[in-house]
Amino acid sequence: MNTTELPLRPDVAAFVARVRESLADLSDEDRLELTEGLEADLTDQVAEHGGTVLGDPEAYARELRSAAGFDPVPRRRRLHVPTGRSLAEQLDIVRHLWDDQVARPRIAPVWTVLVALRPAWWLVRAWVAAVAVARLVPGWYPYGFVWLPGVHQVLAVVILVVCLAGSTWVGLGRLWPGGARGVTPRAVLLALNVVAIVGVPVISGQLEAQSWSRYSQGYNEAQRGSDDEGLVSRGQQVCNIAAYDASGQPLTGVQLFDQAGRPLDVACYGQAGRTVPWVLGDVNRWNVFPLGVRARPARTPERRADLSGASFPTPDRATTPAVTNPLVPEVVEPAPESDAPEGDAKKRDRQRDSVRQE
Amino acid sequence: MDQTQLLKGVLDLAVLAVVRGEDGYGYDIVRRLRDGGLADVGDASVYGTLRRLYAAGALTSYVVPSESGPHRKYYGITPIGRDQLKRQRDDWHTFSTTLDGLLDGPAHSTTSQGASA
Repeated sequence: MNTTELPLRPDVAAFVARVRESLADLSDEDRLELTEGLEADLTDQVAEHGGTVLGDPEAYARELRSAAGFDPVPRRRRLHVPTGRSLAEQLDIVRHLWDDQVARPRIAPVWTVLVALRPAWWLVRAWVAAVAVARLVPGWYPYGFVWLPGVHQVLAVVILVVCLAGSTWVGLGRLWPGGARGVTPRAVLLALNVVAIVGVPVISGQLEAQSWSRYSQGYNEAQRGSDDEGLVSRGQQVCNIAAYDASGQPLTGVQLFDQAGRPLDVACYGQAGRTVPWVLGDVNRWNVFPLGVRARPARTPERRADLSGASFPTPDRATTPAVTNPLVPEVVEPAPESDAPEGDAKKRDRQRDSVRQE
Repeated sequence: MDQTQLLKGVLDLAVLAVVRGEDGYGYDIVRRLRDGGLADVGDASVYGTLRRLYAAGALTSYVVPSESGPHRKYYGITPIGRDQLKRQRDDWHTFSTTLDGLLDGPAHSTTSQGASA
């Protein structure tokens, strides 16, 4: 028996490492059993016959495996659940297969990280549960928080907090079905988690569709709004118009029409309750200015009929500077009627204005 | 005929036979087999067989630490292994006797075999 102590050669160490890699599908125990002492044996062999005896580590591993009674090639373990066993046994088998898989040297570091991220999963599944609950609330509507659509914000936060607490308790094993050892809780927990996994893409897909429909709806509303928002000046609705003649005197009962002869109606929010239209026969005219204004909005027909306290608005400025237009021939008029100082230009403008009003 | 093909069925028996008298580590056992005439035996096959016999309880194993080099793993035979050795030796003798009988049988069968080949 050769008992000479030989140091481990690097080529032997590398060869054995490759052999171990080819045995990665076996359990740690089997792998250790097959390769323990292999360095010493191969070191002796190399000492006797030289480094060429090492050969191909994969082929070596195949021979080793098959002689030891394992499959010659690493076989991908299929998820084979034998039938005719109780659900608990089948769950155990699947669990063991899973544990074996994640214990593999190349998977284990990744799996460690995933296990550390477990609370993030509790949060995600709580969100799925909260959305599912929110959909059951009467009056569910497709608006709201992106992360909790459909219900009033306070209710939404309550639902989310409750679901988050529940999910965490289940995750910590303090709330059924978490932590329980029976078949039913394990199956229920598995089913719930599967539902949550499926639920994430479904819900996020709905959210995406929803945000698109919200966008297009808002776009359409904006389109509609711009169609019938009445008269707009510098982006704001015109609620009333104060008209002055060329000499700066406020005018009452000025009818305005656009270039096509359409009444230049003003229509702004809340105006119908506040302003008093002019009446032509029995038709309300909203293109005659200024409109009368009530002291308080009138929401009912009775109050609309009551015009006490209503008056024409007092313009901020009673007079405006005189303006001229070269198209209007200058007409000499007698003495000015207003208090404001007037020149020839103003007289001319007033003349033009009177022509227009006819 | 290739020796390795013949060995497949009887490598267990051969390994048990060479550890019967004295414990040995992996390559030591390979050497005993090769010195005994099984020149083509693959070392990985022997190591795998040792592991399988150990798992079946026919061998015991222990690791001997080494100060300078890698540890050696020694195998020794157990009572189960001795039973298995005895049983398989008897099986082998019966089998080889049968085969010898076939090979040394009536002359006409061997001549006709030779003629056809």
